[in-house]
Amino acid sequence: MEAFSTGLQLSLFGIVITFLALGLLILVIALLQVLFPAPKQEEETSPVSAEPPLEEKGPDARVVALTAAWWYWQNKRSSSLGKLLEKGPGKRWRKKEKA
Amino acid sequence: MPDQRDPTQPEDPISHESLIEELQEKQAEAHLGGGQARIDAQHAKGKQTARERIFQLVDEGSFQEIDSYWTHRHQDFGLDEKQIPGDSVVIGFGKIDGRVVCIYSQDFTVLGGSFSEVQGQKVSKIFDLAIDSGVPVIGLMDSVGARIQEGVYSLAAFSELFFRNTQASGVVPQISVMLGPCAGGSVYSPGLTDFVIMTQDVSHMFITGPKVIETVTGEQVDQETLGGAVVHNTISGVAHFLASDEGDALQLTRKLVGYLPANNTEPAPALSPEDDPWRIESKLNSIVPLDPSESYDMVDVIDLIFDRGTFMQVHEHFAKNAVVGFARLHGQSVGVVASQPMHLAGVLDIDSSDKIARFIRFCDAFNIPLFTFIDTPGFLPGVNQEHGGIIRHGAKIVYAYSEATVPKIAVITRKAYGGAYIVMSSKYIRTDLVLAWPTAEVAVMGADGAINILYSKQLSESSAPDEERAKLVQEYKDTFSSPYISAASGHVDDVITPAETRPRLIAALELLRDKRSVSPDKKHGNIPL
Repeated sequence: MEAFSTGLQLSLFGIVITFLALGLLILVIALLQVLFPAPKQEEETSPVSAEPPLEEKGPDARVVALTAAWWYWQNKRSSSLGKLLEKGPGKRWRKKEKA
Repeated sequence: MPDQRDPTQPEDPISHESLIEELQEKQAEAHLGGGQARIDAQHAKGKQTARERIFQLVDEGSFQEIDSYWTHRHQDFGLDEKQIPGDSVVIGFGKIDGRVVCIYSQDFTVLGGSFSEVQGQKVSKIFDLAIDSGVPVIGLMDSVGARIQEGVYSLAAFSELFFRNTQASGVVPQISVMLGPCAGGSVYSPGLTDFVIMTQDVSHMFITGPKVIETVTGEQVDQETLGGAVVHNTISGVAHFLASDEGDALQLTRKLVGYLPANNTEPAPALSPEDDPWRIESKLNSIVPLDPSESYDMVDVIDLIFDRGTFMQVHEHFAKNAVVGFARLHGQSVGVVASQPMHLAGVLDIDSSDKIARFIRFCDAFNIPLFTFIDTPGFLPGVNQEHGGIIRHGAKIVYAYSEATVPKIAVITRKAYGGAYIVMSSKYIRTDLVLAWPTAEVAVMGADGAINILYSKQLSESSAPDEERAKLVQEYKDTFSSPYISAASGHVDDVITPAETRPRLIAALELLRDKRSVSPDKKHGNIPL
């Protein structure tokens, strides 16, 4: 029974020590951050760090080209571009001439 | 014609056959004009007769001649012995590509095609018919000038023609095809018409000939140097087209008529479209050099945008710093006005102002939509230009664009500086749509000139003026040398990808197909002539 109690005390002591150490480490990090603030993103001069994060990159050129081509063919297939010119002037034009 | 029948012989009974035979004899006589010898002489000079020219001009079998028996009534100076049926002009109507046109063709075999009282009456008659019917008039000119033997009657006949030229202006298109000499007062008739086509080495136009000039001023000059086809196509701007020979001149006439409506109440003609309305021209994306001092050919731009092979330049050899002409956009006949950076950097001067303004007014009179392409650094500086009246001439462009009520669409390809930006179909003179390419620069003037004016003191006091200048020029460019500044304030309607210009212009023309624009009532304006 005594052995069990000693083991329990040692375990609790170990946990307390661990959390105290962790808390101390956090305090040190916070203190260091206050003393040495991290440089701003635009001040970085390294060519690697100057590149925007992956998710902010523009779409791939191939994707742009494919999208443009799809848009073009879709419009061409379904569009009525030029049909009004083929029909000739409308009634409004003739009214203008009469006026 | 004297009566050939013998009075002592019993008269032949009149029959239908004899009447037809008589008619055929008279027709044959009229068609001989001044006689076979003179026809041979005309052919020997490489020229055709009046009727041969007409037959080459119109659709086969379509020509209907009138007044082929009309003779003059004058007796003086031997004219009583030279009464030729039809006198010195052939008039009538025919078809070009199925569309009716009225034609008069001066007959050089009859007294040198001299302008007589009868010629005046016949030509006036065909003009009256054309105006009433609303069809174009084409004159095939080959004449020594007024018929001196008829005195004031000949002059009066000229006046009748000039009056009708003026009355027909803006009502029906008028085309003069110069196929021989045209001197003295007679030059005012082609001068009043919408288009003059001159044939190289054969046609000449001048008010006073070389002999008179030598007598009066002492200057020695030959006909070709004074008023040849090349001179009037390149220097004076009197002629709009240069033809290599008669056949070429008549083909040019046929082609030109295809772009024109028959009269001012008809819309511009349209053919069945043969080109893809969605044609994307990726070449256009890089056709404008990024270096503002580098040039490019605006005709290439026009060729890539409009229906393939349809661009027909007007005044091609005159004031080359501007380009004007007809083209087709999805089959629709349109007028094109452009700066030409290949010549004088596309600057506007006296001659190009006249060229542009006259073309705009023609298109507006005949319902032909206008497309303008702008890359001009401004008006040409210089004492000669100022003393020559560049203010008056440049004002004609503003006047013509402001007055025009046809659809007006502009594309700024690169420089649009200062006054030239304003006059070249800017938004403020009622241009319906102004589009810009990403290379467009809209500013009061170029960056270097502007910095010289704005910072002359600062630059003169600077210890490093070159560096200072470069910095200021860049700052100016960043501020103005971009179409987005103008687009952000509505001065430009859209910035477009150059490759997509063709479908964008077709869509714009569809929008404006039935455009109606009202101007204040007036007798007529007072364009600064």
